[in-house]
Amino acid sequence: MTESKRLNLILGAVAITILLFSFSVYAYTLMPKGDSEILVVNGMEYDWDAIFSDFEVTGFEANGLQYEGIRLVDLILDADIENPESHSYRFNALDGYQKDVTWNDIQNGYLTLEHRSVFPNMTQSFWVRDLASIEVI
Amino acid sequence: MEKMDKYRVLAGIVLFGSLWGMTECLLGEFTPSGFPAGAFLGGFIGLGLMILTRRLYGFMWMQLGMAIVAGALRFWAPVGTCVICSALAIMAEGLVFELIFNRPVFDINRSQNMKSAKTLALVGVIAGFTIYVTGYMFTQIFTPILTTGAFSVSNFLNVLPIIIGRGFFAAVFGGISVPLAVLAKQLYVNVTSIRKEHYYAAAAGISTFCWALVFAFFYI
Repeated sequence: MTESKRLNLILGAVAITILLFSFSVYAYTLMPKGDSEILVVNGMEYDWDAIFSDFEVTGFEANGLQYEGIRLVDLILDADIENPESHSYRFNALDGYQKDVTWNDIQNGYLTLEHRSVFPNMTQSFWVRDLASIEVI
Repeated sequence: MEKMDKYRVLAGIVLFGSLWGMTECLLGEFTPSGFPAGAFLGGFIGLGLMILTRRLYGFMWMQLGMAIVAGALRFWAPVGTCVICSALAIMAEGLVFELIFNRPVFDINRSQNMKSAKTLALVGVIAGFTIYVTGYMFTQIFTPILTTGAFSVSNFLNVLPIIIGRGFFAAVFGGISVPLAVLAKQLYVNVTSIRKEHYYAAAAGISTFCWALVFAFFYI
């Protein structure tokens, strides 16, 4: 076997392993992590319907589009978090996507009727779709 | 290949590093949600530019310099919770590139193995995945350390499946960008044949444009 063929064989085996393994892991991340009917905030479970009936729903604009939702700060203050201003918060999506934000970001953020966290002052990569939980970190 | 003037290489580092950094800063703002922008940036744009410059300049460690310039520009774009972490991650990507492609067997300008599209695609898959995953891990390690002063192993392990899963797209993008950047005749320019005054003027002008655009976009 020539050196070139042997190299291709090794590279092919490594590349196929990487593709199969990473695709399998990607498929795993698509499996829902959490209950789509509830939102967990600092261990407290909130029913999505109750969230939008218990907290004031307001309209707001972000990236030129109109949204409706509740202010995140109202939800955080309701969740029995000690010294909420001294923490950062991790937003976890049903697909496992995570984003960490600060208290200052929370104060400008919303939770929309589509179960998405929206931060009008931040890039869209910080907007978490299909939110499953908010952890205090 | 003619001997490359070190000042041309330096200008190339600033030019291509600025282009890479500008793309890193702005692409996320213009891609539709759901598009794997990070994997595209690492596996296609970043890796593609590093491979292309290695082909054009044939100069080892130049790509680490480009990554440092790109990271420096990224540092000024207030996107994300830890800007310095993203900047460091780009630099880490450059270092990983050097560690892979400085090996004689993967030398795209000298190794006979690196003339085949199939071999280049396989190397691209491996490099795209490795570079992206390393950069992503880097941010996940340094962001909590630099923002909260603490690193949680469990948080890192929780996010590993996402890092590896998204690495799939970076691997696919790498499998396209590497053969494209090495073999596409349309992308080849003999850098040493460009007249000095044109070369430096273009490099300075384009680099300035990249930096000005990022500053204008985020600060004006």
